Amino acid sequence: MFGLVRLALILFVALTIIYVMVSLYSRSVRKERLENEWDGAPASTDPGARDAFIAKGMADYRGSLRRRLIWLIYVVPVVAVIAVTYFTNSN
Amino acid sequence: MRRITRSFRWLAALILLMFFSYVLPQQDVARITDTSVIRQDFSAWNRLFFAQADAGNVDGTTRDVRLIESQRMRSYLFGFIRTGSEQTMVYRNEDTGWIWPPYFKFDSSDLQAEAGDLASTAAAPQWVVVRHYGWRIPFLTVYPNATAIWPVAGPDVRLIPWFNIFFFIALAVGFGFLRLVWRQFRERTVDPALNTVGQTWDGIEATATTQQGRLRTWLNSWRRK
Repeated sequence: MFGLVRLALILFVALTIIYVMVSLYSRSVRKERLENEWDGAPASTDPGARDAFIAKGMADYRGSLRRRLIWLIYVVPVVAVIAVTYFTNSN
Repeated sequence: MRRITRSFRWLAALILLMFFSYVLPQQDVARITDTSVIRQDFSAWNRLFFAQADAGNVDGTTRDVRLIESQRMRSYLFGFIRTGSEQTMVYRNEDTGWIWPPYFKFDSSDLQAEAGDLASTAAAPQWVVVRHYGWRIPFLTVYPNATAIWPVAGPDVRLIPWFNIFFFIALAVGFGFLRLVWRQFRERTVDPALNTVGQTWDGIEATATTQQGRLRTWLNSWRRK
């Protein structure tokens, strides 16, 4: 049984590293896109308006499906482990 | 220097290739001739090439290992080229458990029973596919570990390594993604930080230059004109 606990721990640590990396990346890409969008066709010259536009875009991102899909990083490997275990050991 | 870098790169590639050749599943077309159990007294040399005791048991220094004896179709280049001749191959049949490599195999006893059921003679052969990982190293008494056995019609069956295909595609995708992440990180985080540091340093340098100038002026003021 200790093996299962160890596997869960290793998986948790590894997947957390990947999760943090991917979510930082995803946020960075979104922010860059918002900045480019504003700079391509600025609605006003006020620098506060640019910040507000980006802040609003990031707030939308926080509630988006795309951000929630990053949780799949935890779900998919666990499902894969269960599936492999099942198919290896069933006749 | 470049030669050293290149040889290190080749060495890394070779180690990676050997690692994948050991760990990834391969399929052999074979005819099982017998199943048996031997006692293995592991040494530091070959302990690495065996898994641990069956799931739920305590791991000792000595234990019985199930073996599956067979005649397999000789093949080269990871099973892609078959010559049509036969070759003796002995597989071990061990639980991998929850540990490495991640096959999550717990049914060694059942697999041994299946292997016994499918055993045949040269006169009336029953061909099977043995999925396994690992190497046969006779000098160290090391065997590949069989993970699954299923019967097939004949020795000419075409085998497609689906898992390995998907594995390498996933590996390439993951590597590409990692590069993207790294580029984004550099562009958005590292380079701006370096720029700030650079600007600060330029400022310090500029100040130092003017101060040196001031010191020099002061010193010069003592000199005889």
